This record gives sequence, structure tokens and C-alpha cells, in this order.
Amino acid sequence: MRWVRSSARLGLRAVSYKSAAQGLKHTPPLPTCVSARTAGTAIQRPTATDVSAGRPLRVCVVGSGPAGFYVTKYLLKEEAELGCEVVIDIVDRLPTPYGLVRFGVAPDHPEVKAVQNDFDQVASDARVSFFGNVCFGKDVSAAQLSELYDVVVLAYGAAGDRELTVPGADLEGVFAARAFVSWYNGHPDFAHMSEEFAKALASSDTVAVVGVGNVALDCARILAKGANALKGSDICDHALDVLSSAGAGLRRVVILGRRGHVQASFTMKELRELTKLDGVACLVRQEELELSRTPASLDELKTARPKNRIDALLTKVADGSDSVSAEAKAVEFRFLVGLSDVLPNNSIPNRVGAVRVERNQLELDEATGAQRAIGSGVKEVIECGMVLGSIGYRCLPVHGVPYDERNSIIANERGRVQGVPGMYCSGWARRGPSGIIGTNITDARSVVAAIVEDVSSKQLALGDKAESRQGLRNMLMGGQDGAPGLRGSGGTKKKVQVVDWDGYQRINRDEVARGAMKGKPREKFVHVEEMLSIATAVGDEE
Amino acid sequence: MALLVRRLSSNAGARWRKVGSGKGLPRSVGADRSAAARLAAETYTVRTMALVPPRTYRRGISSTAARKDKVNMTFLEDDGTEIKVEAELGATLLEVAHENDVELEGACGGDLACSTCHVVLPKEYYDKLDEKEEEEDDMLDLAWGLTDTSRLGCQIKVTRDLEGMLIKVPEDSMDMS
Repeated sequence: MRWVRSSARLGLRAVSYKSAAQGLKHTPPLPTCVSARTAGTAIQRPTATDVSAGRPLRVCVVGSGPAGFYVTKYLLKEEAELGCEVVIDIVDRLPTPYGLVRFGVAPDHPEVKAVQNDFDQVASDARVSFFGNVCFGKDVSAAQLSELYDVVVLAYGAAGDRELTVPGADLEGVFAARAFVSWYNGHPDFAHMSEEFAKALASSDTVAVVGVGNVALDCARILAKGANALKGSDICDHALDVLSSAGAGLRRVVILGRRGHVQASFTMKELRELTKLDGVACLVRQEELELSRTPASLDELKTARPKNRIDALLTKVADGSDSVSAEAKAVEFRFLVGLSDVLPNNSIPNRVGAVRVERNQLELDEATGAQRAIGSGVKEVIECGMVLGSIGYRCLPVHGVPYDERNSIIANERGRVQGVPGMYCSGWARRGPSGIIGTNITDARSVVAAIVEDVSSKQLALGDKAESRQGLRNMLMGGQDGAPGLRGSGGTKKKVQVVDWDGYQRINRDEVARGAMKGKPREKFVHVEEMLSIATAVGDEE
Repeated sequence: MALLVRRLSSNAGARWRKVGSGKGLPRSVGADRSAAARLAAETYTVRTMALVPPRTYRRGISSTAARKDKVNMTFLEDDGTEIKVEAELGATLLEVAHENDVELEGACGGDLACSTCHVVLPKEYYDKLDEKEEEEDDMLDLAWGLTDTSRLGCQIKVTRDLEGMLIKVPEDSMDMS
């Protein structure tokens, strides 16, 4: 059975492959398949004697965030180089695609989410199929995918956190920044946390954010902006409710950086936004900037334009900070302060009441050239009712996938998973959790190059694969000859309810419609069961 | 395979210097007409890198009747491919690139929210453009291979001043340890 797409979508693609595929600029219109890009070259469509014996290269991409979509996008463009057609199945743990574009990008950054339009076109390509609500490592194993597909690309990101480990980090009110971000963005795994965030916000007028990356700045900005400034965005209603009630008393967000501003990893756009918030002051301490300007930091400032511009902006903000009243609502940057411990609330001992920080100094590690933070023994207590640890993410190990413990990534060489021919990785799972959406483009191109190289040089033996797509479907949904999914092991043989692209489109349409009634771009569904019932609803197709 | 061979470079050494001031609004043109005609009539050569087979493209070039509203430009892709285009006045370089199948991303769709449409311009053309907004500089900070004459393609509108411009699409580079 072919996956039938909605008629509007299908029509668009059928009429004009190219115009519908702005993003897929060089996608060859099948089956004539000589792309514009290669029109002048000698590369021809494959014959039966080619590398692949005339059958398509069957690829499974695990994860539908930017890493997965960019690999798909670029791989689709390489048919001429591969000498065969490519069919790609994208598997995602959730019924909805886009990964961190949906659950990471802040609701007040709709322009960043525009990349979804590009991904939409990739997903609508007739060669691509979406398998939502399929959990890699649970519903289907690495070995099973390797068996079904010629190529498996792991792009499942970094679902774990680097956690705060200081004494008191287990107190109520201490959260990983991911939990907060995922919650306001409506990730089903975090939808239940409203009450916890409400309690924490109600217990004090101050929030401490530990870490100085863009995630930390996002958290600070969302908190400081408050419900009113966010109500026209796609932030979830449950988050708006908490921000407008328990969060209404918020007066200060303190951002704590262990090292100096030159070592901070936030970027200019996010910093500038914090300095321009309506009714929210931005505070920076001149003396802390000065402390950060060690000879090694100054060297760095000289050569790195982004750092230099950030230094200039922070200096300007620090100049104006003295005149801000102590009562004003503010986001305050603190640099060269390390978290020593989290202290309990005086009246509620199991809840956070303050953080104790230690003044740090920078010390140059001659061996690596990096500057380390060294405690000076001078401590300070900052009262707060909520602590968000934003010190980084971690790619989690998955059974059957070689794991590089030291770097917390998939063990790989330039995207080739170590010791598993035909298995590749891209994005955060490959290089660790850093970089912007665009970084995945570079990543994707290099892994696609590796795949093309391996296929063309016949390093990658294309075995006798059955129809992979149908095989996966059978395995998950229990087709005629299909084995039961792993989820049902133990004799229950429970089927996985796969959400295809049409299913996601139903969810999408409903979310947009719900949003429209409230003047929002969308109101996300935050429960998987709800999504599944909408995805499988019949009778609403045009 | 050549298409896929990309040189890895680092932008660690990239320095930034403020260049010029935004000189000049678009001049109305007559003088450029002959240059345009000459360029259009030219059989251009494609500069290639060692491994790239010579390829020739000529896209979006229409009859002389339409030329009044069009400006000739050339995109130079990172693999050495040259793509000559006729760009519509008022369109952005990002739009022109996409209309002509130039390998230029534009992840945010031209909303100044990413740096994937980074292009490098010749200084003489760069100097003719209006000054960058600070938001554009903020995004350029994240671009690979930043140069003194880097811009974001989505922020540059085609004017007659840009007749004959060679637009370089920088190579990707990777900072992977």
C-alpha cells in the first residue's frame, strides 16, 4: 500500500516538483531523474547493473529534528551521485516531527521556526515517509533497523541533561532547564509539571539560572517577559497560566556564569534581546567584566569578532546598570561565580530557598590554552525560589549503538558509527549538544558525503533487503507476516500506532485551528494519546 | 564524488573590520545597459576546482525584452560552479539564488533569524550597499568563514548598482573535534 497524501499536497508536488521544492532545489523529478545540477555532466540514471542492482537505496533516519531533516534533504539530492533512487523513512519517538524546532526554539522566536517550511517540503517528497510515535530502542532496535535498511542514520539528539551535582541540588524547585523549556513548549513528557513550576515561582520573587548558554538566556527571557508579552505566541496555555499567576510576582532572574563573559556561550542575538525587553532592566557588573578580561581573554577578544561585539554590548549595559533601581524587574548577569550549593527554604525545608555561590578567578591551563574557573573562597548567598540548571545536554546511550562515554556521544568517525557498517550519525548525537540549527547543515552534508562515498566505493554491501518500508510497518503494526514490536514483548504483542505524515497533518491542522481561536499561531496538544486519536481520525480528508 | 569534497577550514582567524559607510542609493541606469548586453552575450567560462567536472549553467536568462527590470549577476558556489542569473530588481539575493537553483540555504526563510544565506561580495559592490542593521551583524557573527565583505543574502535587494556582481557562496567548514 502506498502512503496516500492529502490531495492538495499531492497535487502541488505532482504539478511542479521544482516550485514546490524550493528547499529541494536540485531534487530530480523522478523518474526521468537527471537533475539540473548534473545536467551537464556525464552522470546518468542507473541501469540494472549499477551499484544497487537497480533498486533504491533504502535509508532510515532516526529522529526528525533539524539533524534528521537536513540529512534527509541532502541525501535526496544525491541520487545522481549514488546512481540510484533513494527512499527514506524518518522515525520519531513522538507523533509530531521537528524535534527541538518544536520543543526547543522559544515561542517568541517564530522566525527561527520558519525552517519547518523547508522540512515540510522534505517530508512531502514522495520518496520520504514519516513514522511518528515509534521509539528507537524500544519499538524497534538498532539491529532490526540495520537488518531492514541499507543505511541507518541516527539523529536522535541529546535527550539527557548534564545535571547539577552540588549539595542541595535535589531540593524541590531545582530543575533542569530542559524541563522548563520542554514544559512551556508543550513536550508531552513535561506537560505534567505545571504545578511544580507554579509552586517554585510562587515561593520567591527570584529565579536563579545556572549557566550562560542560549538555553539559559531563553529561560530568563521567557520568565522575565511574563504572560502578557507571550500570549500571542505558540507558548502552551498551561505555561501562560502559571506565568500569569504564580509568575506574576517575579522580580529578578539571576544568570550565573562560572567563568567570565568571554567564555560564555550565548550568542549576540539572544543577549541583545535581553537588553531590550519592555519593562525589564538588564544588569551587568562592570567589575565582573573587568575580572574576566585576563590576558588570555583579551587575546580571544582580539581575534573573535562575535566575542568582541558581546564584550562591547555588555560593557555598555554595565555602564547603565548603576542607575537601575533595586526594585525594578530585572535580568541580572553574574560572571565568575560558581554554584557551591543550594540552600533550603527556611520555612519549607525540602524546598530551595537560596543558592550559595563562590567568587571564581580564571586560571590559564597552559596545556590546553583554556581558562579554568578557580574558587577564591569568597562566598555570597542569593535568595531564590527556583533554580534552573542549564549547563548542557547529554546524548544518551541506546542499546546496540556504540557509545563514546568520554564525550557522551555516539562513537563515530566523521559520522560513521564505529564498527557498524551502514550506520551513521548526525547532529547532537554525533558531535555533542552545541551549535545552532544551521550547524546541522554542515553536519548533514558531511555524513551524506560519507554515505555516498561508501555506497559508490562498494564499502557498503547492499544485501538482499526486502521492501524496508513495508517491513518496518509490518514489524511495528503486526502485518501479515510481521513480527510483533518490541514494546509488546512479553507475550502481549501490542502493536505500535504509527503516525504517518497525513496523521501529523491532522494534528497540525487541529493545533492551528485551536490556536486561531485564541489568537495564537497554534495551541499544541501535550498528550500523546490525544495526538494519536486525532492522527487516526477519519473523514476529515478533503 | 567531487561535488562532495569540501575543504575544511576554520574561521578562527576571521577578523572583522568595519568597512566603508553606506554609500549611495540605487542609481538609475543607462550606462549599465551596454555592460549588461555584453555580459549576456558573453560565453562565460566556468572556473573549476581540480576535481569538479566543468559544467555550464545558464538559468533564468530570458529574452532581451524583460531585461529592463533585470540585473545580471553571477553566483559562485563553493565547489567552483558559476551560475549566471538575471536578477529581478527588488528581489533579495536569497530569492534570486533560490529561483536559480543556487546552493544557498535560507533556513529561516529570510527573516534574519539564521546565517545560512551568508554570501561574500566584492568590496566595490559591498561598499555600494546600505549599512547593515545590527541584527544582521548579530547573525553574521554565527556565519562560517566570515569576511570583511560578508552579508546575508536575505538582506540585500537587487538594484541596478549591483549589475555584474559576483556573489560568492562560502564553503562550509566544520569545527568538529
